[in-house]
Amino acid sequence: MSSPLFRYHKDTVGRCAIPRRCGLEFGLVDCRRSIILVVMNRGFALLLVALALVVLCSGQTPGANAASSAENNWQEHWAFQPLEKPDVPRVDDAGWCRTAVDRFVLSELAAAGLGPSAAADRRTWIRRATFNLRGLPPTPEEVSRFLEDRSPDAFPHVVNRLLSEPQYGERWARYWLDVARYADTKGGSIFVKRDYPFAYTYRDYVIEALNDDKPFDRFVREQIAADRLHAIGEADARSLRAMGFLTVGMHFMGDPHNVIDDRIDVVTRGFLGLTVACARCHDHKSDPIPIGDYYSLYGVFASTAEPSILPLYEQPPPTEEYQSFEKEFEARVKKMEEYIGKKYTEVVEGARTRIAEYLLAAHDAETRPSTQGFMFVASPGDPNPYVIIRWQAHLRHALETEDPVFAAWHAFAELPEDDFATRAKEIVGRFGGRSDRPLKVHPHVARAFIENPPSSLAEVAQTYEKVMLAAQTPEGSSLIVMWGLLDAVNYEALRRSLYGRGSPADLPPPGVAGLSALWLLPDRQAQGEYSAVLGPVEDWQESGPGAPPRAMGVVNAAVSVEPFIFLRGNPSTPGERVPRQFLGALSGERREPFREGSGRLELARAIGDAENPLTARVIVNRVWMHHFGEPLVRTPADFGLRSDPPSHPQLLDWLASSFIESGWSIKWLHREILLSAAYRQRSDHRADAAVVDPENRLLWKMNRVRLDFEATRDSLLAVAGALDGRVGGPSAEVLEKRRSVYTRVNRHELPGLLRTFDFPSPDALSPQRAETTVAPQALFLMNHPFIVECASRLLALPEVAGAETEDARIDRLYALLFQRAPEADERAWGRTFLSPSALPRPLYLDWKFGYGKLDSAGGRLESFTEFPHWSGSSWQTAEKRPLLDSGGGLASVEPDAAVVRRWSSRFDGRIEVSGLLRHEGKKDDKGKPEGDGVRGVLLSSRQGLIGEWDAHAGTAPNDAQLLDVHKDETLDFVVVGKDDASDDRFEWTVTILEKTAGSAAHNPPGEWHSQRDFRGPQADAAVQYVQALLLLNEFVFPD
Amino acid sequence: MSSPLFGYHNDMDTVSRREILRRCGMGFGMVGLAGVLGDMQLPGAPENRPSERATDIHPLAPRAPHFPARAKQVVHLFMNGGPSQIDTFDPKPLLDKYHGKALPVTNLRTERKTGAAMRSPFEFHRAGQSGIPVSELFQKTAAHVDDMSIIRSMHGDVPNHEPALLLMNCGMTNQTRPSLGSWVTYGLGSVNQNLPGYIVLSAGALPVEGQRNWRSAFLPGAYQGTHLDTKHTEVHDLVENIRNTSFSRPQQRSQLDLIRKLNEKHLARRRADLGLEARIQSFELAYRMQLEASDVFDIRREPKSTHELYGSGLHARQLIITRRLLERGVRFIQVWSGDSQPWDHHDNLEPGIRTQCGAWDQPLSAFLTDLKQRGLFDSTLVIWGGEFGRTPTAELPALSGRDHNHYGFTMWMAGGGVRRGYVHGATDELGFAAVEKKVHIHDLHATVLHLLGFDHEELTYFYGGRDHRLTDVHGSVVRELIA
Repeated sequence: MSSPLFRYHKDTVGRCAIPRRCGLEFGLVDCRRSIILVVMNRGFALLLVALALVVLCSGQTPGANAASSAENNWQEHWAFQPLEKPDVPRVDDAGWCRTAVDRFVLSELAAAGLGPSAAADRRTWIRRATFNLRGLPPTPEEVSRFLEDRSPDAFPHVVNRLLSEPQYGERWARYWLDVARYADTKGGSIFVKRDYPFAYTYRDYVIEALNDDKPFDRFVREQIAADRLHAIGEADARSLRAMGFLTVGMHFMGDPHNVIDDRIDVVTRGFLGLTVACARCHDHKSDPIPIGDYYSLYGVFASTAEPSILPLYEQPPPTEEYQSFEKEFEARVKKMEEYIGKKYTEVVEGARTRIAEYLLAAHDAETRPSTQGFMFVASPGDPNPYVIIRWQAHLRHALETEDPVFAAWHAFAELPEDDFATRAKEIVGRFGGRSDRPLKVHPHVARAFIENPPSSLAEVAQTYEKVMLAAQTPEGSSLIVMWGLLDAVNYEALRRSLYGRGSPADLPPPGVAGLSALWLLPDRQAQGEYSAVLGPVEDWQESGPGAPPRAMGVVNAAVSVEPFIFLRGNPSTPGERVPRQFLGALSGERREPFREGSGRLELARAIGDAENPLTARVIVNRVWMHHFGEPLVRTPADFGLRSDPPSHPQLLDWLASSFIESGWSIKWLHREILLSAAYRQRSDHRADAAVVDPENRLLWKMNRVRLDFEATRDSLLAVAGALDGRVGGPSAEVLEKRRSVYTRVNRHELPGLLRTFDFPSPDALSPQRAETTVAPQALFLMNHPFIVECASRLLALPEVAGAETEDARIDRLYALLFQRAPEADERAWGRTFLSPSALPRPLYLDWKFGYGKLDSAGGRLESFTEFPHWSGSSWQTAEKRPLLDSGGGLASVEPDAAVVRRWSSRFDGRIEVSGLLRHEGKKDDKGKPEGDGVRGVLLSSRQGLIGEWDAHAGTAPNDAQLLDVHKDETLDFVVVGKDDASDDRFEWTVTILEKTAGSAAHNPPGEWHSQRDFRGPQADAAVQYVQALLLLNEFVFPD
Repeated sequence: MSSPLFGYHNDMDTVSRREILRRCGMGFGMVGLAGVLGDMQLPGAPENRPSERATDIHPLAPRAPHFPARAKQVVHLFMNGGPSQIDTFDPKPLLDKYHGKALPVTNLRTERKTGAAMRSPFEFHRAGQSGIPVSELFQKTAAHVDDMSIIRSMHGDVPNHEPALLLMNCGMTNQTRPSLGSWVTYGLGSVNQNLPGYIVLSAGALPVEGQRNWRSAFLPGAYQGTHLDTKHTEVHDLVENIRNTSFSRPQQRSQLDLIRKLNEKHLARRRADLGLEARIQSFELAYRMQLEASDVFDIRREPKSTHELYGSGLHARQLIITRRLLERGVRFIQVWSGDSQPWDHHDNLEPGIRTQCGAWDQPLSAFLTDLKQRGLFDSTLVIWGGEFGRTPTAELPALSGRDHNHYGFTMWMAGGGVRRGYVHGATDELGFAAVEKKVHIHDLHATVLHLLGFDHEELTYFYGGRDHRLTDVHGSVVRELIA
């Protein structure tokens, strides 16, 4: 088409479906455009293209690409210096110091002309330490025992006790789960289940590792390579759960490049404090991480696969149930594998036999804008869209290398449609040597076209198909090309396009290199078939009878990937090849390519190595942060050249070195810090010190840190005696009663409550939480039934409920919540709040909701019982019928179950009553209203029957009438079903207006609206008081 | 405690300047610290400067942008599913010629295979002084065409809903990035502290990709969109935890008074502490939010004339609420067409799009009229559009619907600082791809931020070792769209 009409051709074509050296055209500033191309990919097209090109480019020599990007003297950067244990400084006021930590803190303070703050009192300290290690408040008994313990070991005794509790692991595991971007769902998945049903086994591993004080270097190694360690007997099977660290990340709709990127990121920022993922498209801008280092690690994770059957970490007992589970599981897995195998063969065969179709499709795609990153919905039987892309790559490579097999194709493809036959003859004329511009064409191809010159590109494609199919021999049907076995060089050249490494049909079997099967299934029908065989496998593994828990493990892929650098992050533009190896900046002279499989074990060892200058420093900094509220290095996941130097460099190094000497013991680290005088300081503001060091970087006081969401919620449940203390196991919903660490984290729909309280996004590692103060937090605390329930439970605790006086009750509450006695004014304010006269009784309390027996004459209520159950929106009996809700209710035909909305008068005076009884009248099959409607009766306890109305598929207005009422007289709005029990749903809204004249009238006169006044159970003043205490700053800000 | 209820400006002198500099790259290098922080006073008396992060303690305090803004508030009307440009704002008469036949070129590859050309079953009429043609489906909205910039040359990266939604909302198809509304609230804060700064209205089940569309990602949670299910009409169903069902408001007031008294005694013992103070205020704020919310979401308080103007139905209700939120200073409001993808007309396009446009036309027109009458139009940026458009070709075999199309589609903007009565760019003669003055979604984002007073390259946040921005490394401001 040469018409200007279709300008998008000119404009958009050449934006390269398969970019030649795409990315370059965008210039340096724009280089991340190519990463966009990468992240768009959801169909594996790019990985396939990449794999194709990687093989095609295998002539390139492996390059080291060690050239460092950082022009600066990164070698001098503090974080890369070998770890040496500094001497503990001498200080003047040695008497203040309790652990070595203090000497470092004090010497920095002294250098700034500052002194430390006074020690906090013992109550403050034990509260601080308990919240810190347990994430829950101490009991009053624990505090008083400590206050009385005058032995020199009182402080270490508390710390040791806290460290030995299982709650310690639960509390500190959550910190690590922030780093590990833990979630129970995949967040963007397709044709696989959204859930990670066994993510919790990773969480259990972290809790256990902390409680067992597993040496941190082992903790590191197991999270990267527990499978390999287990294989060589260096780790037990239970440690297989550790690899959830790699696998609980985002699923990116199955895009392998992003999954690998996520793993590189979590490993490097998590353990090393290095932002290696910044080097995906280009050398790191500031740190010594060349792009090649990124792809060295890319190779490690590209050579790592997730098995479709997750490993067991404990052998289930050989029960009958388990054996039948296994049998069924194998059967289901076999079915799935057979299906995938069939599809795979189909696509591979198609790529080799439907040559004409693919050639034309590839040609067609070349003339149109890029479709990289699209998720296609093909029709069944169409050529596979991803194989088309591979054919494109193959043809383009052939063009670049002047491959004689496709030289004719490329020449014909240039021809215009309308003059094709004539021009094609000219081209055929150039075959062989006699032309001015000879074309070097494969002899079989040349012969075919000389015999039969084409008149359209479609004919060219047909001829190619014929020639290439003829080149196939029986032994050629094997997947592997037998290089050299074929004596005919010419045949070999043809066959190479169909069977050679990197040929379009050389598709890696699904499951290799983390590749899912999605690319095999481009049409809805196949996707449906796949779901039908995959679903049963996932279901059974998760919840078949006798299904054992599993580790979210990984394994080394059968074939390791020799990675190429993807120029500008674009997998379709491979650059130099790099070996799988550790980061150059941390390897020094000893750098060697990884040898063992994917190299994960070697990577794990390199990171968990005492010689590594970063690993110990990074974890020490994180632990410090969770004790003092602020880290020593302010960017806990970035120790690179852009980070600030540590506030206490010597202290950081001393702690890191001693930590390694302690056997990488996190508990040692806790003790060292918690028992320091620095940690024992008061947290009050000091104007003099703030002038010098406004941010308290030097620790002239303890930071006052608000409890995070988890500790707040857990503490509320704990003081209410409602916390479910079970340790470990599957996740629970956020408002259940288990500890918050077990909250199910749904990456796809993170509960708003969590985000409101600064729970970090689980899509990537969170270095440090924000601590915002926003009104929705307060709204939750003020209004959510959860808090009212905690308050009610707290009141019902025997030690509170049993208090003999109001003062004793207040004292008991203060002891439970704050572990102190209330001061006189606090107690007095409490008493005032609790005194019944504090507030006028709200008008809506004049209503009661119940049921009763209407006497046979219908003029008197013989009994009245308040409804026992509140559903959240209605009052009801256990049978859920009858019930009352705000607008009306459900009547019953039982004679003793008339529904009653009762109003009691609080005064002697006059009222006006009006209302509207309505019966909707659901239609039956024949269009007639069901049942026979309801009857409403208004009864006065003093005056008897006031009125009576019937409604069936219609309304019955209760005209306003004036009534004189006495104090405590009741008006009952009673509804009964008639003979037919079907459709007894009714609406009855009533208004009562006070019309009392003269001095007895209230000001303003009372107004009652049945709908507006409808309420569930009401909290009394005591509950409101306890809730107030739970909301105090003192509850969430330990000093 | 003498701090006033709205003590934000006063408190801002306690900001750690260094901390702001480090984390919140709002372009200090370009425009200078004072300009960026606007009415935040920096620095204060040193003794009042404990270490606190400004954006943490008062994440929604109003802040001034880089340069004077043309628009102060944003309304993003999200037509999820991908509305057809060919049947609404981008007439293609040439399709009549090819109707039912193959296009004279190969179709661009979209999500599904499309076949024959499909003409629009709707008529276009020239509207306003500008004479811009608008489909009969938007007859009433067309009355405002002289105040709109219609961008006919939008384009994106992918023809699939999920990544396209994320690209439109968060600037990236696949990786986790903050949404446009989060960036705007992060940059500007919000005027009304009694309401969230960024509110998302949708009814029933969530749209595709759910809350990822309004996530704040690595920005603090306070910048995340607050989702309200406008299926509900009662305020306590709309806003979480907005009402206490266990006791009365006077009881709650007296409870809060007790909390305040006890908290202030606690604070007095501990001297300056912004964290404690902020939390004390947050309860007062929440209490006022309850009052404000029951007012703002109760559209029964609107006079009859308003209801007559907007008509009835979901979108009328949503847009009346939107206007009330705008009046109260909410910064960013996103309104979704419905759950799942209501504009995804793969088949039955004719009745389907008629229903959608029918549901929007009157309320939308009324909303624009209303904004103009109340003087809100010039300071409010209204954005209309989906995540992509649709193909001029029909999906096989029937001529009844169109596939997704990210190569070319239409969006329009109106209000604060937007050029009036203007058509920007063009698609090819068949309406398949943008060919003239192309506007990528990144360019749209850059332009929106520009209208709000931001240089999109300077509104950044440091995370994971580098500065991030909404437009990543892309985007240019489309000057022609600015009045």
